[in-house]
Amino acid sequence: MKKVFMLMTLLVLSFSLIFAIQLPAGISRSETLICDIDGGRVGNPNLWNPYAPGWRGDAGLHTVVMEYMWEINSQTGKWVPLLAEGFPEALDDTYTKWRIRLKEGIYWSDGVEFTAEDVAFSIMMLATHEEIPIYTFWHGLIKEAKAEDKYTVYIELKRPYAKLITLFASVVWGPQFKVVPKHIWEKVDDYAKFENNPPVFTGPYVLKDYDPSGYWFLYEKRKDWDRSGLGKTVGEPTPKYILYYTYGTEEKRIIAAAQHNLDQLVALTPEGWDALRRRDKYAMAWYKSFPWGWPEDPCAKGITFNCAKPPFDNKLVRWALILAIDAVEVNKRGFGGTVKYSPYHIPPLTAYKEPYFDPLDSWIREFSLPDGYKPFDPEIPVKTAKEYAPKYDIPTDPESAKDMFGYGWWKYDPVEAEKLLKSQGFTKKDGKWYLPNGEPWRITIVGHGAFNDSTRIALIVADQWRRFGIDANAQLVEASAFTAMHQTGDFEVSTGWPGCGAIADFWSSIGNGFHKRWVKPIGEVTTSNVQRWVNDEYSRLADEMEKYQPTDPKVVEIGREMLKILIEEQPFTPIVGTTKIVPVDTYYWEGWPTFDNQYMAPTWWWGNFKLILPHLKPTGRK
Amino acid sequence: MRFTNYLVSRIVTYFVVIFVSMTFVFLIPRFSPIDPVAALIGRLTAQGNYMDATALEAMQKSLKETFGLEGSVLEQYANFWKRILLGGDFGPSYAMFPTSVNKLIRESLPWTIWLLSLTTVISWFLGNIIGAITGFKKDRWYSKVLENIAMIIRPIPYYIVALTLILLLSYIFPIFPMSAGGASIGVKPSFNWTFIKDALKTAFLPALSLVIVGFGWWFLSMDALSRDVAEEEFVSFAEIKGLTENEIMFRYVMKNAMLPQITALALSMGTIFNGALITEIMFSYPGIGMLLYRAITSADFNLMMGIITISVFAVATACLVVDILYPFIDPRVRYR
Repeated sequence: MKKVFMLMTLLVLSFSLIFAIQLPAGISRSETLICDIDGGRVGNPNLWNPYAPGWRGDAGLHTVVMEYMWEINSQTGKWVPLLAEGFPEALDDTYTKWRIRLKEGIYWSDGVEFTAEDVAFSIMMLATHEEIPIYTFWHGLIKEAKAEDKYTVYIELKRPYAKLITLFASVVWGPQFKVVPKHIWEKVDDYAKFENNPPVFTGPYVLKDYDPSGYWFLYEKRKDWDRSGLGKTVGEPTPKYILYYTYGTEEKRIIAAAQHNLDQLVALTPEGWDALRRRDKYAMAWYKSFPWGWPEDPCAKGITFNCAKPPFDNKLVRWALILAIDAVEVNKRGFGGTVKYSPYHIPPLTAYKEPYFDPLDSWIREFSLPDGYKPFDPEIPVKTAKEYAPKYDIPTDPESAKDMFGYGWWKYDPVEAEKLLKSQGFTKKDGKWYLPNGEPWRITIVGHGAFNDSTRIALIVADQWRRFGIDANAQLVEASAFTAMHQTGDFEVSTGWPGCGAIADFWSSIGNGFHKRWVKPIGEVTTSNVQRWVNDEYSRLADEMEKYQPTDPKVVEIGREMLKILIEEQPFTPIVGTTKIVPVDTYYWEGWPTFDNQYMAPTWWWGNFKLILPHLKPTGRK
Repeated sequence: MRFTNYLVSRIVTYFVVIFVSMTFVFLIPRFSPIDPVAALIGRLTAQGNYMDATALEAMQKSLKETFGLEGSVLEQYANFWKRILLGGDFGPSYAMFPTSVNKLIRESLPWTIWLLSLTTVISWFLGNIIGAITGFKKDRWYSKVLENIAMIIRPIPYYIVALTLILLLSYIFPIFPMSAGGASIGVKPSFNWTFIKDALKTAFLPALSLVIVGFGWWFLSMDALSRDVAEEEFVSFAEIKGLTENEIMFRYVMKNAMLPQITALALSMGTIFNGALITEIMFSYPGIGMLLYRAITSADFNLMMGIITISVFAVATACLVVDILYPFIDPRVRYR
């Protein structure tokens, strides 16, 4: 179907006629930035309350209207205080008393000044109102929040919590805490049901108009943009208007971009990008050439073992299965060679090179299984580079290959895999594997049907394990079923992505998330550690890591030890990082972040997208 | 008396069908491996939202309370009927909480009804009239040409028809804007000429695709029915009587061949309330189909119940109306 689509699209794109989008009177295209909506049509376009469970931020609310206390520049790993001034100050050694300073001169879009009263009110609202879904967590954490003066907030906690900043900062996509204007919200009865329409926030844009059916949302730059957090911190956002518009299917989005009616696209498939770039000379991705996409998405994709189900409770069985995976083939067949290999349990991000990948490089090369076998293959990136070099003219030296394809992955070694399995009582007859109890070995890999990466890995790994002699199949399920199966442990192997992270302190994701305290019997719901992996030492280290602030060097020291345990144990095995092909059409707007100009990550759908806006320049085309 | 018995039995069947269908619709999602809370948490984690495991655990608990999913299935079932019978209230949508299901349906349904009823009626009329002519005059050259065209169109997947129309009429010959939604940017739904003109323009391509595909079906079925009826003895008798070709075609052949088509039309009108999912996806057209799809993928039980209940009512009512009216349309039908 993809090939048919590509051929058809290429055929018609060759006629390339321009048909400009119809904007309302008085709004010119050259002043308007047209953005894709990540989740498509918004089902409830009247809802602008970020604390309502069904809220949608991807149609502009959290990208250009709301502002967070801190943003993270995920490309550089730097913290960007947007509404706050500097970092939170811990007032005691146990991290129970904190002070946060706010920037002065920031105003809500309705003209009222943003002060410490707003922040204190918002914190207490979360801590005391049961109707807000994250209430229980905040209630158990916050004792008191008050304004010490107009720009200083004092927070007292019920228990030590060194990671306070991660609740307020947009580390990935967006944070839990969203500050709301006290003068509006203090009159609200039910916070979870409040529509908050029109939305009043501190961001540089205000809602001008929207489609009652939820297909488009138009925003206008505030006249007093210099009184927004962005204006104070980075500068003036360039576009006068921003239109969030969902064209729907990938085919339509590609045509719209080729007609210059969509300036920025959220995640295209490699096939879709191929169709667009062949025709639209203004289309541009992260790299100018192969491998095109932005390889720094904060979740590594791979396979998750259910460690509560035999034989996956045996780490040597898990290792045998890993050695029966050909990662080069996964990359080639699944992603056209465009992704980085990810041997660590955090994504292969540039930000992790210095704290983790470089210091652990010699350790991982020497790491061996109990039988003395060294499974790491640092040559995989060079092999991949050499495969694609003739077609795309990419460098093949080890350093360049490492930058492009990561540090390496585990060897594809069915012979060692066989040895490991036989040592654990498995038998092989007529090319088929049998469990120690004599039954044929069947594995079902559950994949997330709505995510290409998950689907493709499930299908390819199932194929590779079948070739190895296991009766393996992929079962692709819808989003809700995927999550529910994970939470209740109703799976053997899945292609989930628990290995996420963006900052050196990964306590909030795989640190606390893989703690043994979350493990529940199969059938009972758990929201974290769905692989049901119990490791005392890892849990102890996670507890230790919890005691330090995210910027403390001790965090990285502990983090390295935790990664070593994960590599030895493999409760989850990342295979590749996630490369997002998030192209732009530069016909109307230039200045987008790229590999050659990495001032920001191309995360159009995250809250930090607003940090890109001051860098955009109109091309002057009408 | 016989009619009264017939009517009562049909009405009893009508309510039993509705009750059983709605009970199944209530139970099936609850016994399948989907969970609205898990779906919402899955959406958050899929976004890469950086949420402490402790916070996720807390959220899981409080969402269950917020969504009213606590209590046994039996209690939920009793509450469901209470809400429906007392005020036709389907409760809040889980995926779009706190927006009510009634509101979501109210906003999507008019687009679906307007598009699908219009296209169903147009394709039904065109297909039946042309099908009757070609079926009766089966040896004429135009009959053969039309039959071949319909035979070619009919098996083409709807997706391809829709994509071809988009490419042809929105890209190569950009006569219609490649828009999304039921109206252009800045045009709000209201009873004025600007909106009506805009809505017609926006709906043209999805309507055309539905008429093309719908026409193929109605045409081929009517063509086949007319051929059969044309072989009947009463048609030969009419010819012997010396009636004109048009009189025979319209009064004898078409009138008799139409009967199953009327039943099919009534059922088609009932299924309008299911929406047209692929049309809505391909043309980014607002409607109930996409809403139902989202409800299923996000385990939004209340929204699923709301849409399917309306659909069950519509189809059951259409069947009831056909059952009641059919004896009047076709005098050959007698009450048992």
